[in-house]
Amino acid sequence: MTKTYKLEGLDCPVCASKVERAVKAIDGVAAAKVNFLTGKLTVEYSDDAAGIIQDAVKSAVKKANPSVVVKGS
Amino acid sequence: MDRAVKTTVGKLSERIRLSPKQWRLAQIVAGGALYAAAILIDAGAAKLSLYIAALAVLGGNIIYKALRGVLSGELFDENFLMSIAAIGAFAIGEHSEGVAVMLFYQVGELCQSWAVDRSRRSIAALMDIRPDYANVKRGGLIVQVDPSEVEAGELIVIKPGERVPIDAVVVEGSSMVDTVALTGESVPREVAVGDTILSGSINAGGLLVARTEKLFGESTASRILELVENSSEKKSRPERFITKFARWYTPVIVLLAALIATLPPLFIPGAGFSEWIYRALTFLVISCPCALVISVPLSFFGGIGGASRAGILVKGGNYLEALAKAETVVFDKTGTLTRGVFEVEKIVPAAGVTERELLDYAAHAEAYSTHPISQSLRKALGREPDSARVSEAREVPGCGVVAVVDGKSVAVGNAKLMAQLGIEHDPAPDNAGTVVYAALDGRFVGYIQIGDTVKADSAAAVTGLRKSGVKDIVMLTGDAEPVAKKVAAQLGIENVRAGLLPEEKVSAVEELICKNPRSGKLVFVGDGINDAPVLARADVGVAMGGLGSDAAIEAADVVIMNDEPSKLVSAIKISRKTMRVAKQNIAFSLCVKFAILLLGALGLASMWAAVFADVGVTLIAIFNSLRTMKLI
Repeated sequence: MTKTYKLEGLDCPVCASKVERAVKAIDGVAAAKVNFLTGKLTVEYSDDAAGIIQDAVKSAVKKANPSVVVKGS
Repeated sequence: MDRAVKTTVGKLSERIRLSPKQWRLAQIVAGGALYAAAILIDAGAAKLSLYIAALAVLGGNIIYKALRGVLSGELFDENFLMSIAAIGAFAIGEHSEGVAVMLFYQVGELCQSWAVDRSRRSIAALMDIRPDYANVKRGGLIVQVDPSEVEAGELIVIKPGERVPIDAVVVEGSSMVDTVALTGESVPREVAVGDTILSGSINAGGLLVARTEKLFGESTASRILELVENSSEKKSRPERFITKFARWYTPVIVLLAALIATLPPLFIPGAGFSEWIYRALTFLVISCPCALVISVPLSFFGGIGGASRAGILVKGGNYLEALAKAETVVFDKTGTLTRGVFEVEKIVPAAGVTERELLDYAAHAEAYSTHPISQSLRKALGREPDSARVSEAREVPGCGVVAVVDGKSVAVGNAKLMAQLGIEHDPAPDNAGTVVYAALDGRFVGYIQIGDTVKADSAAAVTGLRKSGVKDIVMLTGDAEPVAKKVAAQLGIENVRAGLLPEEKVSAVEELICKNPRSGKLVFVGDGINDAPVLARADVGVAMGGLGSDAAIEAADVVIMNDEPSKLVSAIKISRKTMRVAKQNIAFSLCVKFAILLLGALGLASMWAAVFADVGVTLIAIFNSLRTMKLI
């Protein structure tokens, strides 16, 4: 499954790649991509992770960069 | 302890409900006040403690992030380098400088985040085609839902002023539809029952009920947005250069800083450590390649956004770059330079017959035919032929039609038909293209010339391309030479290859590419229907009339949404401007960085001035890159 989130407060490309790495590291996430210019995070995850993905993404992003806020798709 | 601090800060920010940006602003104001107080006071201990307080307020979270970064192995992290610079300045007794570094850094970050935000917003506004909701008819009610929840085949209602959410076919009502956001075309289009309306266009007239044809994700608006958003993955050379540069820049600067801090004091007699450490710290504060990493991709994204607003979809920065170097433009004829629709061009009656009579007989004789020629005759007539007047219509394959109209025998067809029937006729000139001759009761009454008309702006496209420095303009066509020559002459194209089979078009393009081994690029423009191999072979494949055509959008590198070949001229202008801006940003940022490095190494630049200059460069470069959005 693939889901797209909007990231607010993503100010630099370096932060974008940090956030990307953090989301990729979540269990059940097959691929993650942050587009700095559009401020969008695209996550591809296994069906098993469907229940927890929203919270997992939010906390991973918050940990990677506290000033970035995840908005729904 | 760490957790306790975090939760306290978390609770505090939750209670006051500050956004990260407001938080930063509060930090700057409070820290700035403490800093000002520290400068004004001259007493020793109080001054120092005020400096420390200011540093804690301004740089506390940065130092915290730096520590966390170091723990997870990120040494060249921006936070870390800034922290070292500030703390280092403190350590050598430059308290004021240390605080100033953090103050300017925070102000810079705030401005940068504001600038990035603004850029994103203005680019998003350019591509404001995303529908927010759909009104669906379900169980006799009209409900407002998210467009992605609508199935194909459902009925949707689009009220005046609303955006069409999903590609659909009108089943009720008629209206005007504004497609400016999709095609750059500002004149609204009329739609009625049976017409397709595309998502992203705006209903500018009456209420429409339509049946959805696709899902939201496959509709035009979604596809366009996806394409433009993904365009940043296909990078141009300047973008690739920046990526590589950024990887090396920070470590090299840090290494240089280390060398400057240690070597001169060891080898130059009389050189003091604190003096050289200060110079080294100046290096650290400009160790972020931010100006380049943000502004160069942003320049390209802005250019792609501006182009999409003009109805030109560019699938990547690399194609924008190639367009800027276009030296050869190859056009397909039918459907690209011409409209691809047959129309009556000229009616030439024989003596004693009027144009109207000739057309009337010819159109009626062809009344039962479905051939494109008969369709163009009917269209020229301006009404449906009266079938009651026609009897005994008989098609002569490959030649024409023989019929009885108003009791008279009419023959309409090519020269072969006339010869078969033994009718003498005045031959039309060689370059006339497709000609139908007509005879009435065995007597020649004139001919009608039918052709594919040239688009209104094709000539302007050719002149525009020449003016913008395209050296070679070529026309390829499968049609016969006389027709091709005629169109080419009309447009002022000298280089024509006629009678080509589809695969011969590919080899013709290959030949042109080989002939032109310089850096100049070859652009092929086609209608995207049968020319996928040629589109792929050219340096840049441009498909025209892409609106609603999935095949064209798939096959091409650049898609012109409407049917105007002159958009290619705008596309080239946009691409050149984008390249110019990107190069300006690179040159400007690098010059300022090197100047600071040089002045810093010579001890002529203070740390706060270095931060200030670095932040300034970033902001100027970001705003410069936004210029690419504006058309020409």
